[in-house]
This record gives sequence, C-alpha cells and structure tokens, in this order.
Amino acid sequence: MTNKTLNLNSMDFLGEFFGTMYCWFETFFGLDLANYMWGGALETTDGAAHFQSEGNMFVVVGITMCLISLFTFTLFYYIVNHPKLNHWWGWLLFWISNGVINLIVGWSWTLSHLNSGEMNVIETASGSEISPDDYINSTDCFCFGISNMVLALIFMFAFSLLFKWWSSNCSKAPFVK
Amino acid sequence: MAKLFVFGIGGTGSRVLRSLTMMLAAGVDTNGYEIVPIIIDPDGSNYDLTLNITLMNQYNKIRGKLNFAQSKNKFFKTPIHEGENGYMLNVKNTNNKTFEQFIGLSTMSKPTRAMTEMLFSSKNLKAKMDVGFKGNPNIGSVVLNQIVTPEDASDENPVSEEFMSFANSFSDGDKIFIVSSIFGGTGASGFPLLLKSLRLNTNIPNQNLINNAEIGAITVLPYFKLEVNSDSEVNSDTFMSKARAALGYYEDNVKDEINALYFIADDKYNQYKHNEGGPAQKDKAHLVEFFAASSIVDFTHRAFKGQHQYLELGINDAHLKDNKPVESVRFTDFYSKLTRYLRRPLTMFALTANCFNNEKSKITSNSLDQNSKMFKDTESFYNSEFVSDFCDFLKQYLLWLKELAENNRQLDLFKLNCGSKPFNIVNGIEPSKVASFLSDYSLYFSYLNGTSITSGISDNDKFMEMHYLATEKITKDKIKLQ
Repeated sequence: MTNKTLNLNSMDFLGEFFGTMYCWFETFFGLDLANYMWGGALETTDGAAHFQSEGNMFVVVGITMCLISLFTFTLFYYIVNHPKLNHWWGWLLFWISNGVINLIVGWSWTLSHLNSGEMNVIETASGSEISPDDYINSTDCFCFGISNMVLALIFMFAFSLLFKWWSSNCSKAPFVK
Repeated sequence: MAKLFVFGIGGTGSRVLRSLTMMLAAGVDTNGYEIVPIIIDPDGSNYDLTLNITLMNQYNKIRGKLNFAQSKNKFFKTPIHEGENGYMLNVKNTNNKTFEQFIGLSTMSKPTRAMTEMLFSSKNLKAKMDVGFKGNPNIGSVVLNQIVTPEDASDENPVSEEFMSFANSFSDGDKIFIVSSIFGGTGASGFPLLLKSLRLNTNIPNQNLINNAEIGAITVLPYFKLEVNSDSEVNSDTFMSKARAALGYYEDNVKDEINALYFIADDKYNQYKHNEGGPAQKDKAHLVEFFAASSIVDFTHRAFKGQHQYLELGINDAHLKDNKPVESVRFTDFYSKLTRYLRRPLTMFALTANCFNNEKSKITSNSLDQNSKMFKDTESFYNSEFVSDFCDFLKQYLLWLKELAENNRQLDLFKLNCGSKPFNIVNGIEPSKVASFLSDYSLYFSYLNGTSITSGISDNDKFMEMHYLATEKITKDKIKLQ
C-alpha cells in the first residue's frame, strides 16, 4: 500500500513537472489538446464536452523526450566521443537531430491518438461520443511536436552543461573557442 | 650527471653529430650522460658544420624552456652543453693562409726548407686551409697539433682555449668519444693526435682523470665517392688506400689506447657532387652517419673497466640477401640492441613530426580537447616562440629522415607519406587493431586527449608531455614496439 502511494505520488510529481513545462506552450498547441493530455476527463474549453482520458499523458511524452535527449547527449559525449566533432557545429548536429527526433515523436504520438479516436469527446448535452474535430486538429498535433522539440533542446542543453565534463574528446563542446 | 665529451672531427664529425642531435631530441637514452660536443673543423663555413650548430642551438633553445624534474616527457631530455667558447675547438691561423704560410716555409733555414719540400708536395704547400685539409692527413697532422699540445705553446701558436676549457670541466666518471673519418684529411689526422694527447698529455688540468678516462671512438671508413674533378686536390679514388694506410697506423699506435673502437663502412658508394668544402658542400644525411651516431649511444651504455673492445656497426647478418646487405635498411634489419635503443623513441618523435605536418591546425586549436584543458589561452601558446622553434625542429627531423631514406643505401625507417594513416608510419610494421570506434588521426587525437598530464608544470612541459605520453602509448598499443 505504501509503495503504491509512493509510486502514485512520484507519478503525480512527474505529471505536474512535465505538464507544467508543456503548458508553457499550451496557447501554441491549443488548450483542448492540453486538457486532453492532462487526463482526468477534463472539459473542453467551451464546456460543451469532456475528454475520456484518465491518466496524465505528459508523463509518458515527457519521459520519452527526456530519455531521447539523454541518449543523444550520451551518444555525442560518451559513445561517439569523436575528436573531430569537438566544435560548436559537431554539437549542433546532435542537438538538432535530437530536436527533430522529438518533434517527430511528439507529433506522431498525438496524431496517432487523434486518428485512433482516443481524443474523441463525450458531448455533455447528449452524452454521445463525437469526433474532436472542433477542438483538436492535426495542426495542433504538429504544434505539440514543435513544443516537444523545444523542450528536448532545452533538456539536451542542460544535460550538456551538467554532465559533459568527463568526456575525453569533447568536454568543451559546444563552447570551443 | 656525468658528461660524455664528443669530439666531432671534420665534416663527418658534424654530420654524425647532426644524427646524434636528432636522436637526443627524440629522447634516445644516453644512460644519464650529458653530451658535450666539441667540433674540430678548420672549414668553419662548411654547410654540415653550420647546419649542425644551428640545430644544436635550436635544440638547446627548446630544451632551455623545459623542466624535466616533474614532467614525464623525455623528448629533448639529454642536455647538449655548449662550451664557454661555443661548440667549436678553433683551429687558429688557417684563415686565408696557405700551408706554407702556416708553417713559415719562407722563414725556414735552407736545410729545413729542403726537408719540408721533400715531405710535402708543392700542391700541399700551396693548399689553402680555410676549407679544411682537402683529404691530406699529412697537412692536418701538422696544423691540428696546435690544439692538443699545450706544452709546445708559443705566442705564435697559443694554447687552444677551448681545449683547456674542456680539460678544466672534466670530472670523475666523465667519458670521451671521438668521431672521425679515416679517408679524408681532418679526421684521419686529428683522431690519433687527439687520442695521444688525451692519454699522454700531462700539462693539462685534470690530466690524471683525462689520461685514465674511458675513451671510445668511431672510425668511419669510406662510404661515398666524389665526382671526378681534375682541378681539385680531393680525389675519392685515394680514399681506400688512405684508409688502409691509416688503419695500419692505428694498428700500431691507437688500438691499445682506446676502450672501444667502432668501425663502420658501406661498400655501396654513393657518388656526391664534388666540393672541396665551404657552404656548397651539402651532402644528404647517410645511413653510415646514423649508425655512427648510434655508436655514441651504445658507448654510453657500456662499461669497460680497462678493457679494449673493437666493434663493428652494421645491419643484422640474418638480413643479407644473396650475401649482400639489403638495399633499403629498416628497423627490422637492426641488431636487437640498437633496435632497443632507437626504434621506439625515433618512432615517437616521427609520429609527432608527422602529426604536426599533416594536422597542425587541429592539434594547435581548442578543438583538441586536451588543449582547452591545459592552456588558459591556447591561441597565444601556439603562437609562442617555443612552439615555433619546436615546429621548425620537427621539420628538420623530417628532412633528416627524408635524406636518410633518399640516400644510397637507403635508411628507410619511416613511411613519411603515410598521410591520413599515421599508424602505418614504421616501414615493415603493420599497426595492430585496438578496441575503438575511432581510427587514423581521430584515434591519434583521442590518444592526445587521453593523456594524464602532470599538474603544476609549465605550459611548455604540458605540451611536450602530452605528445610524449600519447606517442608512447601509441607505440605500445597500436604499433606494438618494445
């Protein structure tokens, strides 16, 4: 029972942590998509319907984004660790790649939810399940992908500043004068 | 530290000292002996001599900015001491003088003059001495007598300050080595005179120490020919007969006075352009000079306890082809002892020189991670005079290796055109595989970045230690040299 509470609490914390960060961009990718991601059957912005999702989906997307960024960071500094990449442009190559991968992941993840009907809403008045077209569209999904990309870039930059120092060949990248 | 005084006599002496300087720069171990070169050459404008002095000055300039107390670096570790009066033991009264003016033929009595004219041909007597003795040991033995016989000193023929300075600085445990050729004028006459003076002269400071010191010498037998020039006094056809005559003299007068006498020759005579001396006499470095320099290294590792040893330098008999030595000599043709002394340090320095030649922009910038860890201002360090001198020296080292490889017979130790494949540098040795995603210069840079540099040492020492340790590891792991 205690472990379960702890797990739930840590999941709540991660949900809050990632949810707050993603919501820096909620006006960009849409409040309805944000409400869907928050989970807990939140209402749409016009109050006419509510989503059916239960869990906070920012956790899954956030952890995926975080792991991809961590992997790309590790790849650059400790796996490839190539002396010839010890330049700003070498780091930038991996940084942009990380951004693009996360853009695709965020975009395709939300788009797959949209297309599979998981974002369908329940109309409050009729109680019937309808398509979310009036609230979320594919452009919002792409914008979410962009938001995911921006966060991934911030994460990889932070990882670089914090953990690059033990790299044998690239410890100064990207700030190589 | 004990000192090894190396007397380099004549052109061959300077050329051998050039090879020795290169070996010392590469960190070849001299068993703790500091080297004190003393060059005896009346031909002060000789290209080999000026080149060698420039090189030794450059060596000392670089070495003077390094501190070996804490650093693990061994490049340039052995001191090359310059005497109070420079590296030269000056031969006086030879400038713009003919031999007859030097001996004062015109002031001699009639009988003495007649005797002198019997001993020396008129060509000998008219010979100018500012470019050496032009292959005439009979002239050399008269002129060089001045530098080693202080008891005969006079106002006209004063004691050589440099020789007295050498004697003054001689300490217990120091050794002496004499480099000379046997087929010319200066070396052939200078060697026995010098040896006699070192063993028997009682009018010099520290005479007891010097008389009983361990003395080694290398006698270079003919190894090249000169183009025929009927106007010149030097004729290479006489080299062999002169060598034979001198060997006969050594048999009776030298062999019991010396602890180690090395011989070297090559029967594959390369033909050089005919120059009697001076700045025009630019001969490429030769394998014989390389091996002669290695005899000095060998001498520092031997103990004699009063014994006499006669040694031949050469390539391993097992590598003869049809009973003849190979045309192109590599490390694999060396005897194991020489391989042990020379192969690894020379390879390490060649790797460094080749890296600077091919990848200078990378290894002198902060994109080489180790640079940004070692230096506060990488750019200004690499623009310093020290690095500039070091790069110039590396160029000289590559040039020396190139000359050795192009001469006849070839000493083709390194593949200097290995370009982007730095680990293929040693001829006859394929690099091993190591567990790394990296290859070629990327792997090389990784070795540089992976060096553990001693803290608290100067930037110059850090730089040198980085290259020394990286190449030491490369030669161990990748090229598998002992």
